[in-house]
Amino acid sequence: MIDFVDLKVQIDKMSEDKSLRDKDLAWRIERAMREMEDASKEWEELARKAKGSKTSWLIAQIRQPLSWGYAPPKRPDRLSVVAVDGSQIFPDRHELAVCYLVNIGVVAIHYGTGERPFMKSIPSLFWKDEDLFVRWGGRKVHVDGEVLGMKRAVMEMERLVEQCIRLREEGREKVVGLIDGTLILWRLEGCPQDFKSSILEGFISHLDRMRRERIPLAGYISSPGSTDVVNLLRVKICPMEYPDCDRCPAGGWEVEEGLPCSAVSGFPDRVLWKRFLSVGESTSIFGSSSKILEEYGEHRVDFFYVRVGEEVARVEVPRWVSEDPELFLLLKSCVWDQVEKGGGYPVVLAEAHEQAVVRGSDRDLFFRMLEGSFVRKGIPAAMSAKGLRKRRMAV
Amino acid sequence: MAFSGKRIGEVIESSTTQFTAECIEREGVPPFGSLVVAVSDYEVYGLVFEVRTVSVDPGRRPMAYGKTEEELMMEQPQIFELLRTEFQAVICGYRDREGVRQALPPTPPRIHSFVYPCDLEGVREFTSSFDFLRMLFSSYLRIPIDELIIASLRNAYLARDGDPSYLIKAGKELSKLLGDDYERLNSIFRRIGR
Repeated sequence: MIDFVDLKVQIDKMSEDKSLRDKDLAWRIERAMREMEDASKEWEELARKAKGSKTSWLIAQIRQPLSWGYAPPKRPDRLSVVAVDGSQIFPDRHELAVCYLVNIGVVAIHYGTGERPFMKSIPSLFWKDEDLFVRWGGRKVHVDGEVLGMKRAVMEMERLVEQCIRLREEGREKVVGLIDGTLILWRLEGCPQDFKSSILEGFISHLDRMRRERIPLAGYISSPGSTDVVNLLRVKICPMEYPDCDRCPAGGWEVEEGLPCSAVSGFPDRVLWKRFLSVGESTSIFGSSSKILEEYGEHRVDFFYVRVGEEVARVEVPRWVSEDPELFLLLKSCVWDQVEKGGGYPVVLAEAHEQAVVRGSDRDLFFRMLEGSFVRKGIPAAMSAKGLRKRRMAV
Repeated sequence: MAFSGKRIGEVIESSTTQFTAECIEREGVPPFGSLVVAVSDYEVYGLVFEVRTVSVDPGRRPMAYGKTEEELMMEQPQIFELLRTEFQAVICGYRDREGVRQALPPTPPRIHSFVYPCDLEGVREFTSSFDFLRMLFSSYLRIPIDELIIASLRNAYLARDGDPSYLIKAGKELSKLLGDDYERLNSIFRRIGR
């Protein structure tokens, strides 16, 4: 229950605060736009400065002349697009049994052939010890939501790769794979080495297979919150020759507000690009400087932004895609075609999501089936008192 | 057997007086007024009186794309997977060991039983008697009776290579059912003949 009277006072205060901040924000965006225009002319200079800097935030790596306004390439007449998305029923101590369900939606749509699409959701139930526990810094710990999220990323990639390769084996020449969200498993950065390796090994081996088959793939991020490019502009306006946040003469992150570089901060890249890109247009390619990518080898992740209607999306690709003009153009044409067909979001990803989604009623039915099966087999199906209490409240 | 060829639907709703079946193929939709057979405990005959195509997911409505069906097949093929076509048939007879009866079957078709289109021989056999017309008139279902009679009698007439003596017999039966409503009878036969 929420005390809405109390909440209303807080909401009003927040709105007042935000409107004051917005005026300042508009000014900062203007400044960033001017800096961006400048940066595109002196991109080599900026690339050099960025390379030598040590910042406390991620900066986009300039991999080619910093530019924007690239029109979408034309999609080949015949193309198959594969997408996956996943959802899960969480391990919950208060529910019936210690198990979890991962549901992965796989969709493959063939364009220009009139064939029926492949649309399927694949549920997998995990209950064995090796599924419920992971090695975590030498200890055996219970899988939680965050760990499952990372395991799921590997499973999704595996399904994507399987489906893409199946299509290639059927003799389809042009195949593209799309995944919802980032390709950068940045959450692994803080994890112990044994767990990190267990996740990365699978993920990288799936990417290896795609590379061998030369099937381009991308992670599609709708309305991204990343600030890599804006941070590049912060580097640009930093008065130091090579910015070093630890030795910031202005006081560093502790006094964020008054820093010279805060003149262009406080908004994500998409806000800036929306002012530069017309619908369909994209930016040049940047490299991500996420630390985890040091372990990606040849699959280091590059990205670009594309205006997809009202919003700007971020598209992430492995380096072997961004450096291969044929694969890159194929991927780019596919992404734009998908977005156009889907009214601002790739249609194949939207369908994969529809396949994957687990609704409240699905969840209830899953637990009822579990309970029924346990009862038939004579296994005590006990719920914790708290779990029961959450389902039925007395007055 | 009054049917041959491919199954066209699967029963998804069933009652003593009518059944609803989901089409198996996009091309295999039975026409309005056609005779179909649901095969379960009995061969249950039905006349198709309603065909509709709806979204598989009630939360998703079809929208206009401004493209031809051919273009959609090439460029938006997924939408056809998200639509389903179902048809409703009013039950007008069944076959047991002794033959065809124009009466309601003892049990309705089972859910998930398959539905077949009646072949020409089957249509001739079933429509050789006219008691099914009385069943339609006494049905409490909301069905477009006159339209259904026109379509079903026209099919029966065509299955007999347009034999006029069949229509004369049918006319005699219908006039008994319609009493002195000459206008209605006239309208029905005018439209069968065309």
